[in-house]
Amino acid sequence: MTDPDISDDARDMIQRHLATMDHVELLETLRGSRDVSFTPAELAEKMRKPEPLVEMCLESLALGGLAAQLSDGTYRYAALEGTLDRTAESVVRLYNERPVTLVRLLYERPPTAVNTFADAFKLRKDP
Amino acid sequence: MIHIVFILCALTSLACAVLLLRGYFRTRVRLLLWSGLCFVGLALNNALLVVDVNTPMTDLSHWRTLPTLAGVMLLIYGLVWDSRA
Amino acid sequence: MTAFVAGALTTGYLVIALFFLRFRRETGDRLFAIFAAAFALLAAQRFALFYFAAEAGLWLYTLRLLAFALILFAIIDKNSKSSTAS
Repeated sequence: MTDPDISDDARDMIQRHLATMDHVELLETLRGSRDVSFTPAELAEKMRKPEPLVEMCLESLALGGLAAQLSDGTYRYAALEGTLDRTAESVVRLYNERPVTLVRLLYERPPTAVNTFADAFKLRKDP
Repeated sequence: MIHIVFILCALTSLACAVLLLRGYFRTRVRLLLWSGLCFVGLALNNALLVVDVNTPMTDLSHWRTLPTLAGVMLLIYGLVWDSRA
Repeated sequence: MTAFVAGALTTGYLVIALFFLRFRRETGDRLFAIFAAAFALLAAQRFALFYFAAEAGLWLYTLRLLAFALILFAIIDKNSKSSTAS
């Protein structure tokens, strides 16, 4: 199921760094206030999500170069310009305008190598 | 008694190896190949251990570590290169 | 040579354990936490085996048994979970 409106870069970003809707929401929050840095607690309050969850998402975004931790421990949006920012913009637009498509993309992701490792230990094959 | 321990270890690692390699042939995800081979190494090591305690005349301690070492290397290689597929 | 091999294996097991810990964070799958614990035990066993010399007794192998028991438990756990999951 390929959607011509969604760029390969956006697909790739979703697949590699945005595992859940929470990740996308965090991306939107950070990108929405791109000049401000937040502590995980502030973000948790802003998003009304538990702080450990926000911290986990922050780590994934940081791995993808979308968020950066500053020396005082706060986080801010990191893809300030260039392709990465444009890709992030398109993902955020997807989140706001076509959430169902985004959810489908999140669920359709092919299993990662790590997931296949865990699944190898299932004795019965899932239908 | 100690034999049972080793045999149990060998069987467990063998089971892991079989499951992982089965997964590899199903999905062709290479991480599973490396981890499967690592458990083959661990199984071999445990099997040699059983042989070693049963034959006091021979000392296999050097040969024993060889499959383990190879297995651990292979798994690390796989984790580094093939866990981000 | 023995020291080198013991060191290499201890480090190797630890590296593997750390990778599994990371997978646990990424996927939330308990299997990886148990695997990480098992490989950390194998590292401890390999280290102790060298440090206390092989004469320290075969009791060290109970550590190894524990490690493989953990792996066995992880497999059983994985399958009991998947049978109840949707």
